Amino acid sequence: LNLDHSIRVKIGIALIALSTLVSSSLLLLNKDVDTTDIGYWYYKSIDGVSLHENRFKGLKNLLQAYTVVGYITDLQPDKAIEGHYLTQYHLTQYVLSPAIIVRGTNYPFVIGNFHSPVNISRISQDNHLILVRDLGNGVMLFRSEKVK
Amino acid sequence: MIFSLLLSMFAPLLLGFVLISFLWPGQRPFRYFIIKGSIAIGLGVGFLSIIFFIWLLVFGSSKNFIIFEKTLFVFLIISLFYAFKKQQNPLPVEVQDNLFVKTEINQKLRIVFYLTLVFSLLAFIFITLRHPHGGRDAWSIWNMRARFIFRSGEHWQNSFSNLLDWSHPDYPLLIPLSIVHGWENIGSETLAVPVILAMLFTFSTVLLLLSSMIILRSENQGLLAGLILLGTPFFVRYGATQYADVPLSFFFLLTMVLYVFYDRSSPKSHALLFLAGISAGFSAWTKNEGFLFLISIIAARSLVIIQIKGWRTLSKEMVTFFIGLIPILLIIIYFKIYIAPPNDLISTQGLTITFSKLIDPTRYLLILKEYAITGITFTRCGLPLLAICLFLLRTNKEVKDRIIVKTVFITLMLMLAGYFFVYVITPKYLTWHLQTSLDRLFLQLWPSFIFFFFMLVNTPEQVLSKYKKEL
Repeated sequence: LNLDHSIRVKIGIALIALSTLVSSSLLLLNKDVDTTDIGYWYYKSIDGVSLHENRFKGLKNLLQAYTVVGYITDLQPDKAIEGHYLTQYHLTQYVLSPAIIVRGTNYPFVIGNFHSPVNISRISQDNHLILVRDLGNGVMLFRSEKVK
Repeated sequence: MIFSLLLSMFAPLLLGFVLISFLWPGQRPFRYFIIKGSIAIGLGVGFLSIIFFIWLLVFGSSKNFIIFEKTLFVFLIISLFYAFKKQQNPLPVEVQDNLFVKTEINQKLRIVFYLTLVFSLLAFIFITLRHPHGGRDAWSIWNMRARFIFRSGEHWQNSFSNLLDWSHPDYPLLIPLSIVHGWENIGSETLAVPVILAMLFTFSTVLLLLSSMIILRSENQGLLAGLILLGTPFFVRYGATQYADVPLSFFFLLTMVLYVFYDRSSPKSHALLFLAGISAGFSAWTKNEGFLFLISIIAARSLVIIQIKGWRTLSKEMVTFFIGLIPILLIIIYFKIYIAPPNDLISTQGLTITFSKLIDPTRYLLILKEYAITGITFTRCGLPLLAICLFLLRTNKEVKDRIIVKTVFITLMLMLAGYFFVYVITPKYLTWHLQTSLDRLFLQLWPSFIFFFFMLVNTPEQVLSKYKKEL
């Protein structure tokens, strides 16, 4: 194209302006998400954090503020930090802070975070735990038989 | 509650504005209102978090801090009134005279910029409504730390327990303490505080880039720079999901901008260098990467100044820079030594393993590959747009700000090299570490890179007027 430079500059600037406008429109319409993005599940999902907070609302009032509490779940551990297992554990810590939640049952009190129907008596027997309160939605509080 | 919320956000803004008004006086406040306003946000938030931290250390809890802050607030209003009443000489900074000269394209560019700004603001709000607690790093690191400190009262140091090592308890406290400060003002936890904080930093970064470029180069140059940053969806998305990488990018950019204004001042305004030192300190108070930035900017500036102006000028500059930096640095060092547990990247592997990683060529190749892929893709259309700008505007052969252009370039290169070697020795699984963090590290440098780029190339006004002259 035999365009003079001033026209080329104007066309170029128009192209830049148009591209940024389209880019921000796509973001506005939520069409920007890259599905190969490792965190895609997060953007796709609705506000999972608030849902988790509501599940644990009852437990929050039962726990003493500065205690260290154990944590068991029926989810299988996975290596990925974005995986469901670690995300659920981290979310539990986020909603229950300033109590400190540690994976395992070596604490006087243990939180249960279950996502499918579980055999409570078996869990209690296997881990030497006594159910203190079933708060519904798979959230439970146990007391340890072996750690006082 | 809304009044308390506004007041809690207004306090740091006022503190920053008083500081900037004293250190950067000017007769035409409106010309500089946007740049001073955006600087005030960063400085104010940074200072209040530092003051709050000292209060927690001295008094053991946040009790009575709000009474102290309200007293400070009254003092600041009086100071601001005094600052405006006293006719200080304006800071002698060389700027473009034809700041708002109307050209054929800038009316249209202005409209596009405003539209993009509105779209980005709306996008920010919609993302926030979908994820009010923010992204993963926001709730699992920054907001969780804020909750711990706010809910723990005098036991606030429990937040840094080794039992929480997965949540990086060694990370600095600018963001968590700013959130706690807002909650203390309101008297309860509300998600609005971290959201507003994230919004302030995201759009202040855009306004800082825009206004500094308008003052230093031209209006069209500023609009183009602002458009390219706003048109990077990644930037707005990470801002809205409350990642600390955006506030960090703000402090990186602010330090660079203050250096240019210092270089352009005649006689030299050491107040600007002092502010640059403070800003660099706040970057290290925001995220650990800020330490790498400190080393990089000091090394880059030293290299350039020694080469162009000599040791004597460098030592004078560094003294003023360090006067701003050292008080903040001492507080961070105190936090790191006495409160925070060791960093997970440093503490979890021995020297032998670190050395074996350093001599493993496959790690270098993998990192180089990810650098290339992420470098090209993370901005989506940002880099191609810069390439178009370079093709159209060409580099300015008579770069007036040669010192800062070189300083910013070397700083960015040192930062990239520093990140590279952190990946080489990381104790984490390398592929995962790269995939989950590299784009955010590039994002931290992106506003500074755009700033560097538009300092380097000709302005549209220069190109078009040159063409007219040739005709």
